[in-house]
Amino acid sequence: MMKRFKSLTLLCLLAACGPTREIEPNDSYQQATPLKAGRTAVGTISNPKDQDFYRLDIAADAVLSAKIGGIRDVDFVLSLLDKDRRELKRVDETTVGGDEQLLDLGVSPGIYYMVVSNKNEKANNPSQSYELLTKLEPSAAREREPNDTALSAQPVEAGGVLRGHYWPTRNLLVEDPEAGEEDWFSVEVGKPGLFLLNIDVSEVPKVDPILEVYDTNGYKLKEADAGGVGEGESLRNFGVRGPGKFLLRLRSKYKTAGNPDAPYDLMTELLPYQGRTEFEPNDQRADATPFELDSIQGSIAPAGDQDWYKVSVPEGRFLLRADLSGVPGMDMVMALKDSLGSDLSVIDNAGREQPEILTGWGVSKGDYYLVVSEKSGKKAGSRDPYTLTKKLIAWQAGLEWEPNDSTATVQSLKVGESVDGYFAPKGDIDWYEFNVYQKGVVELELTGVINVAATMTLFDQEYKELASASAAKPGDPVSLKRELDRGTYAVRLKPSDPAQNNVRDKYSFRVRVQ
Amino acid sequence: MMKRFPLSFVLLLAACASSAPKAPALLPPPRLERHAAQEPPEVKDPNFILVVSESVPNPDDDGACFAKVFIDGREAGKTDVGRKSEEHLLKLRLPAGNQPVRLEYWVLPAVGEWTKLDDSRQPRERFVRVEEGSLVRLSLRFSEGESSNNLTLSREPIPR
Repeated sequence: MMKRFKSLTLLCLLAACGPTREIEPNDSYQQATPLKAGRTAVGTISNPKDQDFYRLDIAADAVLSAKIGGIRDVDFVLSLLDKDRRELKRVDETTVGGDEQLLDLGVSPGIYYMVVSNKNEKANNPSQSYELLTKLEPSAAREREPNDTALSAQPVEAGGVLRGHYWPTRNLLVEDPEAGEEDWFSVEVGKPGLFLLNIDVSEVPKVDPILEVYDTNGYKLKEADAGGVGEGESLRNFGVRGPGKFLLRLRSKYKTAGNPDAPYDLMTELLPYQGRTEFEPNDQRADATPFELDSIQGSIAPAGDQDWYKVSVPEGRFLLRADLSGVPGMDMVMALKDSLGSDLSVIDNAGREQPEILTGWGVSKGDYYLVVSEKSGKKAGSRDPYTLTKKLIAWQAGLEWEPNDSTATVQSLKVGESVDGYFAPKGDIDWYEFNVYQKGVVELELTGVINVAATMTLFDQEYKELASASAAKPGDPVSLKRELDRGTYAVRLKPSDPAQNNVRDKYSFRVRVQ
Repeated sequence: MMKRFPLSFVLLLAACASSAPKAPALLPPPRLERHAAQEPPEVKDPNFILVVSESVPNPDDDGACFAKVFIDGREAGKTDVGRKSEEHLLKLRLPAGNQPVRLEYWVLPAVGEWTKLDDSRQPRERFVRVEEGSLVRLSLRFSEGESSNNLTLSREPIPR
């Protein structure tokens, strides 16, 4: 008796552990075969139009996956429906004989239906069984399909990692048959204030990802598409104002590319904004990041990125100096713009991986903009930040006041005085003007500057050239002596070769009467 | 009785004053006539014209201004008074020769009296050669809230 009971118990246990065989007829919701999530079902496609319904009773929030395959002749389609028989996801990625996979389906306590069907009208293999494998996993830190639209975006908490798949490649539940799969996530910023959102998407073989950020009105705020196939994407220092909600859209660039085997990791980080980094998007004047501290960090991403920084100058006259650090693999360019966004000066002195320096530009009360970009517009590097530093130096007599590049913006100088200035940026020309009130011999002296062979030209008040002198070689001083009548005179200083410049060493120019 | 009359008159005035609606406490717009410089006299056959203007992006900042001209250290005249964004002219008949010309720009703030612009923001002094038969036009244009100015000189023959 005991032996029999033991054998029966063992049989029952084995039966519980083994696959669930479909119970035909199971061609409708009412006749659905119960299937415990996490178990495998075995069934057959008795005729090309056969549909097998399985009912899953879910007890807790989880992520459900399913895989079906194993019959030659059959072109499987696999669907998941909720208790209201609303189709949540459908996969049909392969053709006859191929496997189908449903991944990352977010399920909650309740009833779900899984429906197996066939598309091949000529299928005729009623004796061969398929295997429908299901897997139920905890839903923490997992993508929860369906999250294919902004409306169904999955809420994610910034500051964690979430795992998902670029799978399936197509969304078969929308009208557009070509619609690709998309994963939408929403990030809620609960606290008031300014924050920086950093987002990283790990690499997945065969997939070239695109990451986009939208506001709740559906406006695209930023797109990251710097990497290629098999590479990740990164969005750094994306500025958000709290409280607020932002939507992330992640998709494969190429609609037929996906990967059911390798998941992506979506990492998000929310940091309080402290003015030390750019506040993306800052791609235009209206969105310029306020540059209030002495230095700020930013990065060029995606390719073609332009970072605008607003420098507010208080009452007074100042020289604005700005230093932009070099970035690995990039040739950086810095521009100074006025309050309307028009170019005042473009700094492109140095080459790849070298710093750029705005030696000093005369500014007064108002807003100015420093714009940082990469020269080719084709490079990006969100993980290689640049540092931009600025200094407002109170202007005083004896300092060059840029712009003084033309006779219209000439800088006045009194006889007996000197002025210190730079031959920078590349192509810089400096004009000075002085008055001679009594006829006499006037001497013009210009100190030498390393890397620059300077030319000094004297003009009368009608801008007729009177005399010119050039340094014999770079670094040499230049001087001119001439008897001058009463009048106004202008002096033009420039490197003999426009490519010569020196952002480090100042020249000193003096006008004196003998 | 005669002593009481002024008291009742004062009371009546006070009543009138208190019943009148009060005007909103807004700052009045700058009055151009406040100690304004006089209109420059018409000069016959001028050989020197000064044109002064300012770029004023915000209409609220478009206060009143004028400019004084000093030739060889002596005041030679003033432009008309008007809004900064308008052109202000001064026509002069100067003796031929190379003259040092200095300009002074004056502005009328919303509150207070006429104020000479800070020396560091005034246009530079420069010599202007005046010749028989030609008209010198000196143009001064301020921008960036008077922190920057552009002084240009042109010459044209005087039509006979």
